[in-house]
Amino acid sequence: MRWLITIAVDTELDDLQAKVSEVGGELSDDPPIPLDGDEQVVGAKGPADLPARLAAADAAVVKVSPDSELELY
Amino acid sequence: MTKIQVLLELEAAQPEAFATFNAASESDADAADQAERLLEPVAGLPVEVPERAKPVPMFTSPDARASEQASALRAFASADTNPDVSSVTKVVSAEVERGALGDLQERDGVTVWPSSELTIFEVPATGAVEAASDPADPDASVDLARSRPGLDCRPFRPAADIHTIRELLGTRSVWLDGFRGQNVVVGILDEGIDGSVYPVGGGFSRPGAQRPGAAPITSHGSMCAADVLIAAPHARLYDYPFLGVPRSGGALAMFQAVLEQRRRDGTPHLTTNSYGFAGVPPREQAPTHEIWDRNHPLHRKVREVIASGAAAFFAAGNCGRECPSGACHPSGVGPGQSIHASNSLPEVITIAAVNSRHERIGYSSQGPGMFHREKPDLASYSHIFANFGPGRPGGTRDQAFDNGTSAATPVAAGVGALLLSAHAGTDPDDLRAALTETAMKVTAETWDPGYGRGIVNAAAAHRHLERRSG
Repeated sequence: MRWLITIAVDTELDDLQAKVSEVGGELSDDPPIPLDGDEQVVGAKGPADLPARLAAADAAVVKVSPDSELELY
Repeated sequence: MTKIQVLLELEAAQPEAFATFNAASESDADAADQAERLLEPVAGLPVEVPERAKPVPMFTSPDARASEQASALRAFASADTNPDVSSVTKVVSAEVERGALGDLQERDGVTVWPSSELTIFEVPATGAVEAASDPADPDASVDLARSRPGLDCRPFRPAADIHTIRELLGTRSVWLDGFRGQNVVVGILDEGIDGSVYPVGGGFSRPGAQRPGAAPITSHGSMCAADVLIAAPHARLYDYPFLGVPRSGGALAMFQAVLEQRRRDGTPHLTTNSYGFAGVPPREQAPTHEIWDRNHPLHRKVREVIASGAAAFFAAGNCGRECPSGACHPSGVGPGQSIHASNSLPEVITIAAVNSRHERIGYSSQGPGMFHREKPDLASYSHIFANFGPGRPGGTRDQAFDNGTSAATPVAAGVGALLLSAHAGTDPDDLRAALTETAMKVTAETWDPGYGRGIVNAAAAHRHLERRSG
């Protein structure tokens, strides 16, 4: 499943990568996308319960949101 | 003896008056015979009827009975065909010797009216304002009169040509003021545009990604490009193609690219977005899904772009109750559950689809929106021979014509671009107000779940912004 992980701008991506790998996921190679000035968003792949796993692992994330498929209308 | 042109009105209770007039219209001999019989009461007076003059049936007399007679015509307000009716009088053009006018006016049942010369309020010939429609194409008629809400479901009514849609949008008056979308850039977030056909001037460009303008002419994005250019043919386009499968993360990246471009040079001035979701996951199972979480990063980014001054047009979706697209999941079909995610944010301009007869297209998603109730905001035209169609750049193999709320949305965005061309600096809130407050009402409701606040009209919105600027 694909995810969008919102993190603080000063979050170390290497540390996040390690946490995500630890819980069975993988961070995207794409550069983080800044959001509202003090946050940023990075893509990831991982299990359906990735948000719960990251929370249990005490990962420094603000929010984990789905990266759902869109339809062209 | 001097002859003058007059209109003679004589009593003539003609059954099936419409059919009789149609017969005169189709046959000069029939018209002459009708005129001769009509003028029997003035036989012997120097009255001549010009060739091809046709007695015109009148259904009210020029006296106190007119109001009562007119009441019979109120049934014509229905969209249904009404039966033919009898005339009360008929009027025919005639030449009369001035000296005989007194005798004419003394005849019982005869009224003499002046037939004065008219002045045509001619539209200046610019050479570039195209004809309203192709007269050879009976399906391209401009139907501005129909006001009863209708529905267009499979098999759909025939598509309309670009000229008809321009006429319906009222682009002519804005064009005659000198504005055709020049100096405005429209960002198209989609699957890419064919830049060899459409004026792609930039967009999302990164090593390894599809270059702006590199998509085929049959792409969904090329269709959107053609549809923007209907109202704003001199606008420039920025191409923001999704990378692979369209996902919210891809849209997020494209909106970031839009914001970055705006940060650099204030362009694009608006975006058009013809994508979304086709089903609604249960909230208890997916509370963070884009449809339920209005603070999903994508929605936040959309709001950032709008806050930067670029209006965002979003398609309502193709999951209307009456004839939803085959891609729709039952959970996302019909009123209250078919306009959602970014497409239902209060900050965006959400577009439903109508055909050239102002009938709602049955797949057009219906409000209320899931984030903001009063969605859609507006309706705009779809089913157009623009990118797809006979003789059009995209041909007919992939699509018979431009369709979906996907087409209606860039048509409306093109109107937005046209207005920004004429009224530079209009912010997204004012642009939305100009479009919604001047939209053509189709129902009596202030807001309608199928049409929003009405059908977009460029001429009316242009006048609104002119008045606002004083």
